Amino acid sequence: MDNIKHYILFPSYNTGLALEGFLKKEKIKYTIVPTPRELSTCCGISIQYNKADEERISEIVKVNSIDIIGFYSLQKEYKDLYLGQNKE
Amino acid sequence: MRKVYVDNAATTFPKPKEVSMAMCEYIEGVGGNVGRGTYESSYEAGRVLFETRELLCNRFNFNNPLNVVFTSNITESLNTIIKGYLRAGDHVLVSSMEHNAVIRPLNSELMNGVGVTKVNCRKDGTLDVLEFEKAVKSNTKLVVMTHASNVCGTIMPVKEVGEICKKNNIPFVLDSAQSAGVLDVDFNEFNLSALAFTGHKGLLGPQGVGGFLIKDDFAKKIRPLKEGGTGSFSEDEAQPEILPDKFECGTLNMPGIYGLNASLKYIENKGIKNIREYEEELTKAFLNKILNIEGVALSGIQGAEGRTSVFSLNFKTLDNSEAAFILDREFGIMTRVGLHCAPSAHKTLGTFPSGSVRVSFGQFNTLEDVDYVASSLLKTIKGV
Repeated sequence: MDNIKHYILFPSYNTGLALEGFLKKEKIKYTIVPTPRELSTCCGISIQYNKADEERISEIVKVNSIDIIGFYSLQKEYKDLYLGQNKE
Repeated sequence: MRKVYVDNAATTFPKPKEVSMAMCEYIEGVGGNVGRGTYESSYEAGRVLFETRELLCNRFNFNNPLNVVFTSNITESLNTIIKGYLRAGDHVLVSSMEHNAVIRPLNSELMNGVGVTKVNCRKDGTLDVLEFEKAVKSNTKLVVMTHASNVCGTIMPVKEVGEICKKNNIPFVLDSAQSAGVLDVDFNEFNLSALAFTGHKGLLGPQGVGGFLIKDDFAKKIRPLKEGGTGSFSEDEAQPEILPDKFECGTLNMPGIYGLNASLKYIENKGIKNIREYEEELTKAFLNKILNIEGVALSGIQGAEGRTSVFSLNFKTLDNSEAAFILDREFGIMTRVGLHCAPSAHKTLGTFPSGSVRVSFGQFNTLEDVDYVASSLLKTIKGV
């Protein structure tokens, strides 16, 4: 299973909301999520998106001059914390 | 007793019912701290916040919702801009019709080495644009002006003033306290650098929410009045430069913003033209009545043109405070008496320090209210 997740990071909450409006208008699927701590120390929000839409989103960002930090991907490695216990 | 509220220049009342419904919806059903919470209701509140910025852009013909900053009221907006921008040696131009929300911060800037010229208006509150232009100096760094007088309703020639500012490369800040939601307030047409607004007057929202719209280059030159948590750049101990965060810290008045969101939609649905025309109808009807009443003098413009529905009255045989008291106690008419936080405007109009009784009509007044106020004024003068 592909555990890579894709995020757009923003300099502020408000710029995130600005992009959200355009994604909604363009009917592009997205989810607002807390910014993964691995990607930023900022306590704000990010937009999680599907890789297939990246080009379209990139164009929207460019055309509407939306200030973003960038597009980021994160490989998720899920660790089963109970695995060790079960083995015992 | 019949109750008639004619103190709309202080704050409009009543509000559209959608306003309290929206505020209730936030308090009871949404909650959530925008920009802080990482859960859906916080995001939902964030969307309403952003939509309110967009509605304000539509209202004022402005193109960037991220450059819409919320404050607690227009006084805070004007203080932020005036105190954050001016430096020792700068010169500021204002009219003599300004409210203390402009005059007092400027007065304190005098002590910091800022020069201020108050261009005297005519006795009806109108501004001679040529006189204004003559007052521009080489170190004039700012023009601040009210769009319409809070004392007598006189509308200032802000488009012409904006042209003078553009020609001389001076940032122009508009105080729209008495015009937003009533007149066309156009950021681009007036060549503004910033537009300060309040939510609770003509915009029909609740008290405690105001703000300003500002151009990027002008915002860069302003030091914020407040610094603190913005929900952004939390790793940084310095205030962010990005807008609106630079000027918007601490938890926002979300119930107020929900209320303002609803009132802005109400205004959009009704149409500013219809609102303006209705208030003109009330203005004409009131002028027809009171100009024939002996014993009361109207300050400012005597006709319906070039004014809003704010009237300053002086009683010739009664103390103004006594007249206001009788109007309230005997007739249930709510006015405001005194100097209306605008001593400079009263000096211009020749009504300082006695002040005036201010009658200000709004969207929810009727022609019957106008008749009732006029006939009650007459009875008050006659003592019947």
